[in-house]
Amino acid sequence: MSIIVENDPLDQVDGSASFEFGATKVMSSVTGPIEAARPRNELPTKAYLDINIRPSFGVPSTRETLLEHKLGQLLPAVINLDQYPRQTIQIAVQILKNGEPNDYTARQLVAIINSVFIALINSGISLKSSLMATCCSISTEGEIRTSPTSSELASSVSHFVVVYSIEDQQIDNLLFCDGLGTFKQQQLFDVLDRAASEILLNFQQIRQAIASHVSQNYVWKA
Amino acid sequence: MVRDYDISNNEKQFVLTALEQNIRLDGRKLLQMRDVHISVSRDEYGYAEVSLGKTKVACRVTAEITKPYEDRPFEGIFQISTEISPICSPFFESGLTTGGKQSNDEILISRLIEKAVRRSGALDLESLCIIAGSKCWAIRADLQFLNYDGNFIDISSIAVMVALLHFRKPDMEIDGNNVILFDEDQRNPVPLSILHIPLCFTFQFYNPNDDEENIKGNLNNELVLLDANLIEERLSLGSMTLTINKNKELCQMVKCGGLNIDASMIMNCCQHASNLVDDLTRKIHDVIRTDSELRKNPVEKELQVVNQRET
Repeated sequence: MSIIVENDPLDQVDGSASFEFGATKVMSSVTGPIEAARPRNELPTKAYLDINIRPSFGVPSTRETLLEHKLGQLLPAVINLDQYPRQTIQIAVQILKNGEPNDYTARQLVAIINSVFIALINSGISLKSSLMATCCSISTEGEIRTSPTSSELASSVSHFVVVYSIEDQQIDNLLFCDGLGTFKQQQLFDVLDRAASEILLNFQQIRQAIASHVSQNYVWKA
Repeated sequence: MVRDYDISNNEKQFVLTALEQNIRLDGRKLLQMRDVHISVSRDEYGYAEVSLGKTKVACRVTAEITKPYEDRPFEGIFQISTEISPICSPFFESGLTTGGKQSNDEILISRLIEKAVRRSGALDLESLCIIAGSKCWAIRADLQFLNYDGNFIDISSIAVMVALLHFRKPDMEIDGNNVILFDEDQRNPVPLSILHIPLCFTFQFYNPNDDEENIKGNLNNELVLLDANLIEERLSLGSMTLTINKNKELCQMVKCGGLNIDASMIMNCCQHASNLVDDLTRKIHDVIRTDSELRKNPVEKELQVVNQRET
């Protein structure tokens, strides 16, 4: 799988990133911490996450709301929300290329999670750990494929989105696992193992992209 | 709530004084456009990313078969959606947080694009008709504003036109009342019928003198800027958008209030825009041609050479 990461392509927001793997491309932006737009969103002890996902075509539907919900469940585990009481962190995601049939969201969810993570780092929001997502599919022969293509997804019996937190460049915790289709318990464990090794491999590339971006930002310090 | 983009008085004065001396912050001439960069998707049809300096817009065109409008049974449907998401700038709030209310900028941009592209008849709607009164193609262009550094209107018109030119709809056959659609592998998808390429050029006006001179005087030395960036756009006293095509047809002229401008200056602007439109149209055609060259597979290319006609 070839990953293309672009750091801070947008000027008007605090942090942004675009993440492209295979035929899927997503751009994310993070603005915050900012003042809450509505009093209802002002939580006394922690920051409010305002997540907004826009599809590559058409108007946002329940599909995007579900993705927003999944992202909203995952992110509080890594963002230090209690560090920004009564503030809002605005996360806007634009899907640019689906790269999969319209009934599937696996590849998009992976790209969304990874691009939001890089955007969060670029925005300087306090995080508890690194994270990375990947997707796997199980073919009709029971073979596990990591980062399946559009046609591989369509012919698979089940597919998974797996997110691990990463600490000291080692896999730490399983943060999120979303499986759709039929699978056996052992297959799920195999998928989790495969995903972990895949993530370790690909995380190096993301780390490098972030490192080169940071060194570019601090070029004046040398 | 994010506060609006504030410009300090010092900054404002600096920019305006520089403009009076024909200097722009990015080193351009007053009537010079920023470099247009166009890229189209290799893996699919109908996706274009266009950037004009730092301003960046993506456009995606999709098609589906629906029932035509009752009063227009012989025409297809063409929609352009322009919703500005907070991704490009936090002061464009999402429709969800403001209760679905669009901002004034957003309405203005979408109406201008609508008029420039749809109502100037850039896309031949009658060619989208499949079975009169019951089936037609609905073409939808979704504009995604990514980065905002002024001049959304001009870049949107370019992006929509490139995406429309890049788009191919599946080939089909009509068998009585049934429509048979062909896969990309079975038959080559067909391009849309585009009648002309209308492009927008937005001019901004500034007044180096006082109001009285502007209204009564004959000096006509108001400053005219093409393709303003964010800060120039914020300081402008009036703007005018011209939509023009390669055939030197003026499709639209919009000047909503603002500074009083002499008719002769407006004529000069039209003249200048008509000089620019040729280059830009050629650039768009080049991008589309290179893309279709790259898509041809070698065997097919060999076979096509005999029938090749230069477009």
